[in-house]
Amino acid sequence: MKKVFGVTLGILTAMGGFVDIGDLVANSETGARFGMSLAWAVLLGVVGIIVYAEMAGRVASVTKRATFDLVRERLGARAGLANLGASFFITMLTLIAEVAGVALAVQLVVDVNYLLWIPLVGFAVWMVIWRVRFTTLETVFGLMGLAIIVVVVAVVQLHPSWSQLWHHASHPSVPSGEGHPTYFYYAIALFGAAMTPYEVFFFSSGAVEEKWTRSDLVLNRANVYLGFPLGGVLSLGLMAGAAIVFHPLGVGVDNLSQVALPTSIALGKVGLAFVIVGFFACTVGAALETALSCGYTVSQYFGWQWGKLVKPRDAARFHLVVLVSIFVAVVVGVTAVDPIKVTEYSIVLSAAALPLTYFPILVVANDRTYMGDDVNGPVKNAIATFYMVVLTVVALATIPLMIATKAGS
Amino acid sequence: MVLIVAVALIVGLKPMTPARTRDGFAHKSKDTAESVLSSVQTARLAARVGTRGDAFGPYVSVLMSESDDAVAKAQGSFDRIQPPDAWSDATRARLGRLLVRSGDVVSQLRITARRGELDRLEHQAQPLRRLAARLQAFIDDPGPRP
Amino acid sequence: MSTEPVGVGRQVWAVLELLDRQLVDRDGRLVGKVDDVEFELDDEPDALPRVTALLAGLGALANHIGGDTGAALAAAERRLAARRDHQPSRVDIAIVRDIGSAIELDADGENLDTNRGERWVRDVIIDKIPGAGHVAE
Repeated sequence: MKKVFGVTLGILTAMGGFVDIGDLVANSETGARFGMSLAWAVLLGVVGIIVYAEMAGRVASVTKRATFDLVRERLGARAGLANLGASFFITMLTLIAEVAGVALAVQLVVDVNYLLWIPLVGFAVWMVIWRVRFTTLETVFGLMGLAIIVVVVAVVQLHPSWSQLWHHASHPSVPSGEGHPTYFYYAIALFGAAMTPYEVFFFSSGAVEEKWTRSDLVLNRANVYLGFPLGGVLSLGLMAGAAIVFHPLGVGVDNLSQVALPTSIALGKVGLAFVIVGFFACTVGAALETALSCGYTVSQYFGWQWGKLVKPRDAARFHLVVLVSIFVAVVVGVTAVDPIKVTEYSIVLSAAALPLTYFPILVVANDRTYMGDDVNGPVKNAIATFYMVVLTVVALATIPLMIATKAGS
Repeated sequence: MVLIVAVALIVGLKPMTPARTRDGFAHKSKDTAESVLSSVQTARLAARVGTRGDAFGPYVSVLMSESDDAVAKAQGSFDRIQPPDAWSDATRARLGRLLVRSGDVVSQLRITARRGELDRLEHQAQPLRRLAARLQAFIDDPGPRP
Repeated sequence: MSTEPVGVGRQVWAVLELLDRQLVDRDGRLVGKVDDVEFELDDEPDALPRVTALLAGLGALANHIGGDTGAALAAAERRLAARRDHQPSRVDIAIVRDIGSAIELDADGENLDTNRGERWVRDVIIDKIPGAGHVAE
């Protein structure tokens, strides 16, 4: 039973983390604009998050320390604090996007302006964290999130020219009318959507709190190797749907509503119902994870008691941070900032900030005094080091590309 | 951090600047046409799924509202761009007509969708097919009517 | 930096093994980080400095970080602190039970000075919200 539970955690993280508002938007946007020619960026992101989460999970199981605990210890108080500032800001931005995403999903069902739903969504997210046992919630949203698989069914039902899709994906080129900077800006967006840092904060904190041991490492790998590629397939499904339906017509994706349109065309009302339920579950799951991650990062840096399994009064400052974060997300959300723009910024800046947390984890994963015999093997280390280089290049390129492309416009 | 926020704000809030050259005006016109084409095509697809029973009323209504808002926004921004010469005046007139007609049809679709009369949408959206083709022609060769 | 018998009598490479470590109380509760370390210099000329206490909390962190960031943190601490003497919270080295990947204290977190921020937030804010004492269902 415990094993089933563990794998569900992996799948939930893959669904809520992989397919969250960032992936819904980024994959549809790029599919509509660039066809399948950016599929490689999704692939790069999927392998990246597998490498990162596997290391973070292993480090958490062996050392019993979550990500930000180690960040502080490895980088020291000063650099750790700067890191906390950047990571918290981006997680906060993601939380705003997810809360707005839930509200947008609700709007698709009742056609009442999403701004009115944001405070309600914020309250519900807080209530869940305050009152509901995480196992219950995990099963509920894990199962509901599976509904998003319908986007892959929709792609099959649209009877695309598979050879053409494959050709575009395997021979990437910049479509005419698009510049190279824009192309690579969106590549970074896709990469950041796949590798959002909060996934790892959440994942490693869960592993510490549930007291994973070395023997749970097998489970950890199953979660990561099963859960994340599944998320990657869903991402590519979203991209392919948009590439088939929108790309030839010159439609650009600017709203969440459009993301559901290929499925509605292919599978009708039933498909549409599934995809909206999927939107809802994925964004709620991600909103919970990001809200908790806001609390995790701050508490772990300062050494405060944290956790989703203890009474709120026994982790008072942790719950205060979560409460304030949700409140801020709601306030920013209802000021009518374009939620799709917030999403774009959150994923692109996520990509830029990744080395900050990836590097300390990579160092610890190679340190025998922490890890004993569970240090990175040579193959794993080669891949992990390759990703450190990729992340550094991405981080350095992000801001210049953002300015050069006026954020991809 | 501060830098990131500052950059994000500058990039995000950068207002539309007036075009100073013919090329600049052509470029902005093309961007506007692309944006409106996107909304027009979305409205066409929404009308199709609405009338064929492939989507729920509220969902179709949201799609139509968003398309309508986007057309109106693009139109509003375009109207405020100062055309620098006679060529640009003629270009402005050509695209302006397309924008007005697109806006009219999409607004009507929005109203119909709100009333829940989904079966009428596809018929009402028919003019959008020609408008989409003409917007595409404009995008391929921005300038006065050839 | 110096090595010196501490607490249980181990040689401790103070900065490396103490600073930024997690403080854990008798019941496994997390009660802060080692934000700074207090030394005492003996009168004897060749004696090494002795670690007398671990300092925790925003004030200690502000001292340790220094610069503008440190000054900002110190200002925040002065605003937040319930106590007015602006002394950082001390954990006497005598109650340190073990120094490992975390530092275990032979004390109840309820009585620790380092945890007074936690108690304040709990008593003044969290306990006022219904359901604070329930384990999630």
